[in-house]
Amino acid sequence: MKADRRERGIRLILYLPTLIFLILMSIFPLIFSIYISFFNYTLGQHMDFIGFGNYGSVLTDSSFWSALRITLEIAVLAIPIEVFIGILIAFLFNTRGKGVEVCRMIILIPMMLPPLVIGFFWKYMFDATFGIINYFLGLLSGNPQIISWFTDVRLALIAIVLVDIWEWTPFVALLAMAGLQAIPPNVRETVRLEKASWWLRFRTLYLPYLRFPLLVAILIRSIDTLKIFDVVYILTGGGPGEETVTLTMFAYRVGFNYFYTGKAAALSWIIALISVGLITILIRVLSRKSTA
Amino acid sequence: MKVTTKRSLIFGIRMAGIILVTVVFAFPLYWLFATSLKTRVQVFALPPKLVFSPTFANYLQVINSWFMGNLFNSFLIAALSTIFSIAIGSLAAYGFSRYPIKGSDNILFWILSLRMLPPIAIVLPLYVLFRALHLLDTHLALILIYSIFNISFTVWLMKGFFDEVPKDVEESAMLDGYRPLQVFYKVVLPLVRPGLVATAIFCLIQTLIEFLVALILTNRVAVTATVGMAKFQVLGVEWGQITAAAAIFILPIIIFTIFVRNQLIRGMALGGVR
Amino acid sequence: MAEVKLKNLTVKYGEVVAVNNVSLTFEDKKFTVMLGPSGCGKTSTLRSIAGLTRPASGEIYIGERLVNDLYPSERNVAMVFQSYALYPHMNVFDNLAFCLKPLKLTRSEIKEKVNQISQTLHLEEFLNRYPAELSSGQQQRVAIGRALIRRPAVLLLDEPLSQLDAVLREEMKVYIKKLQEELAITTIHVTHDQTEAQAMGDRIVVMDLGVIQQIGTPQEVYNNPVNLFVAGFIGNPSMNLISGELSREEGKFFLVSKEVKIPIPPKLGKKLEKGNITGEIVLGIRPEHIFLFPEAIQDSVEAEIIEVLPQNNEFIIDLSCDSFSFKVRKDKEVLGFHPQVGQKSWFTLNEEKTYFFDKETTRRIELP
Repeated sequence: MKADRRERGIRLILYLPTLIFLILMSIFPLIFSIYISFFNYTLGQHMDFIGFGNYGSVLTDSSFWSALRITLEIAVLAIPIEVFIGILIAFLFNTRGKGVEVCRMIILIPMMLPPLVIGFFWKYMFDATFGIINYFLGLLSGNPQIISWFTDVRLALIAIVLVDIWEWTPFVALLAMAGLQAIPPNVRETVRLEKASWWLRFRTLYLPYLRFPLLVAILIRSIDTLKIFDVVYILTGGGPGEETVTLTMFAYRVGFNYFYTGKAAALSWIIALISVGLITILIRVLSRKSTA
Repeated sequence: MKVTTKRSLIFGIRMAGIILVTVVFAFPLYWLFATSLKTRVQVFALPPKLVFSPTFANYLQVINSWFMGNLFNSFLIAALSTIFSIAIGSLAAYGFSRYPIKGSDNILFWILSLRMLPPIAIVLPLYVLFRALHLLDTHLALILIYSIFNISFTVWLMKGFFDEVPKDVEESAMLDGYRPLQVFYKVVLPLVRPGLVATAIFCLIQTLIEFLVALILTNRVAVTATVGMAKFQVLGVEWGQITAAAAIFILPIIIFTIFVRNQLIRGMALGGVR
Repeated sequence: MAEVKLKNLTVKYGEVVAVNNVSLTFEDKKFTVMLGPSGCGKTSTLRSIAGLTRPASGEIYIGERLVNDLYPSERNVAMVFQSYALYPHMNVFDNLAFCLKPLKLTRSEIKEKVNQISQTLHLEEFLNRYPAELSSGQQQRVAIGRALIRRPAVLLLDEPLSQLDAVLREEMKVYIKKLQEELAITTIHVTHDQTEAQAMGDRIVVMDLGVIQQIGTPQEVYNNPVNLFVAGFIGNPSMNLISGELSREEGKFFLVSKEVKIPIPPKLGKKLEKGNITGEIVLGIRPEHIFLFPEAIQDSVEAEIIEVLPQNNEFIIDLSCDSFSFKVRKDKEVLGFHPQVGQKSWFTLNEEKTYFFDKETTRRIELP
């Protein structure tokens, strides 16, 4: 029927450009990278089929496991603190007023900035001799501090986590604020009238509205941590030694410093699978909420 | 009387808390701008100088350096990728919103997961392909890759805005003598213009701040501002210049952010900025 | 101007059948009201005519033209939506002029038409305002103006009055009806409000469950309901329906239900006998067709008044016999006594106005 043809025409115009582009630019390359991952291939040289050899070489590479461990450590250290401070900030800012609006705007800026630039000025602030952070620590402790943040593994990791917290706590706070604003005013009023303890109020009134945004925040932060690269690249450069090389940085080095293309392809598939797992959980959560 | 004092005490504590939090989060930014306005001597002053007389010497140096070319590349690439992504992404978003197809939901989720996938997973095969096509170190290569993320983002964000357009209004326009695509163009797009602008700004910001893909794909010609900044590392400790370059770079981003402040939640909940 | 003809129209949403094989002609220049409860298929029928919903099967003609394959924009129909659906980003002038733009008129022609329609609808002072700055009554006038400005062949009204307050609704009912008569435009009005249907329609199409139940003038559907649905749906308060078994004792007919035994007036009884009607049936009697007495008379049934709702000039009275209850509507003057809650009273049926329905088919039983 003519009407059917016309409707199909509209759909083609609407969908086709996007679908063609995304298939060409994502599905096709991803399949191509599976193909590469089965070859012993250093860029520019010829390819030898080795089956799952690259996967084996990734999984037996201690650097891979160390990168995975460091990425996890960053996530496990940073995300709970971001959630905790994020909730506090959300409650603090859950009020009206022009000044509050301005302050809210200011604290939301960090997450929009280039992580690379963030890495740069935090590096300056962490400087052992001239850095403002050591200066403040000196003021607090009473005697000058010359902490060399990036020569000690643990301190380097703490520095990365601190920067991550500065960068992303506002994001968690933003989602939590939205959750708090979704509480109907009458519900808030009823609970205010009852003289409930703070903890009880938090659990019965606020938590149900915070659970969903926080879950989304935690998932998104976890997915993001898999991608963490820029800040670490500038701040520690992966050092000391290779002690702060994250997963993405490891893949970057394998692929684009050493040009082990085959191995890097296998590695990028492993990273993709880990993130697809997390993304699937996130999408489940999101769609369950939207259908509920 | 007692209640009011208690209340104003709580109010006072809250305001103090808000100010404290704001200062903590704003201080690094202040320090960035402050450092950019310092002389070399002031930068390395001990103890650090919180108050000083500003100089624009660092800015002059940056403005006359190769970094401005990188900045231009960044804005060019971001603008073109944004225009392209908005143009075809909002068409698809409208499709998902009004003309669903079989498996729409699954396709939507596939598109969303593209946006959240670590770039490193996609960039490797594309690097090999672009190398074969002699597209490495070109603006086009970056525009194409950034458009994957921007289109995916546009589809999701714009679908939300299209969903909010009352269906009746569109149907009204159809009866008023307009074909479906004319309705899209003449009624729907004007109605979602604020959303369209916000989406475009998000795309711009996200593209401007990207580093890893640009680092991998560029070398000399299409070097972007982030990659250019990374090169400052070689300069070692010229903090005055580095922070001045950073300031020039992030100032437009901060202004953009202020523009989209009311849409931040929608934009950010779609998978972070990276 | 044109008639609208539906042939075997079926509309489905997935597995749900909204309109089931409907054939119907909307007469040229007439005001037809489609009446039915929500979900009865009336809106789906309307949207199919507009071209906003694609029917699963069947044909739609506007005038002589088969329009199934045409875009809404090509059908020369206009529609007023329940929400008015004005363009929020355009002022009133542009809202009205928007449908003229595809017609390639000159600017002065457009201006003239807009001025003309805004005069008719008293919108002259609002031309520069945006929809958000108008009251709902003004918005509705803009919506009507937008529909009428290009003189469509058919005007479709989708519950256009439901968002107005009571006073404005009465006003607009009269106004729309008058406008329609003046312009002599084929109009299809969808509503669930029967007073609206009675007041405005030249003809009423009663729908339920995707099927046309009855077509007729307002009087016809009220006086001669063809089945239980129409009988129960039309009229306010609705018709009392009592199902029971027809029985005969000592030459008299009774309707015996679980709760009550109602003597049937002798004349009616004879007709029932002549028609050879027996067994399970449903008796229907409108509240206004029940006679009520303060004391017992021949063949009356005793009942208790359990609720009295005084209206302007009448009472709506709830009666109960044991557990069975029904409504009576009487003019205050005609009733002749002041009903009180708890009072005993006696009722009989108006034999001219008593209906019988087949319990199985729900169709009305025609008496000889």
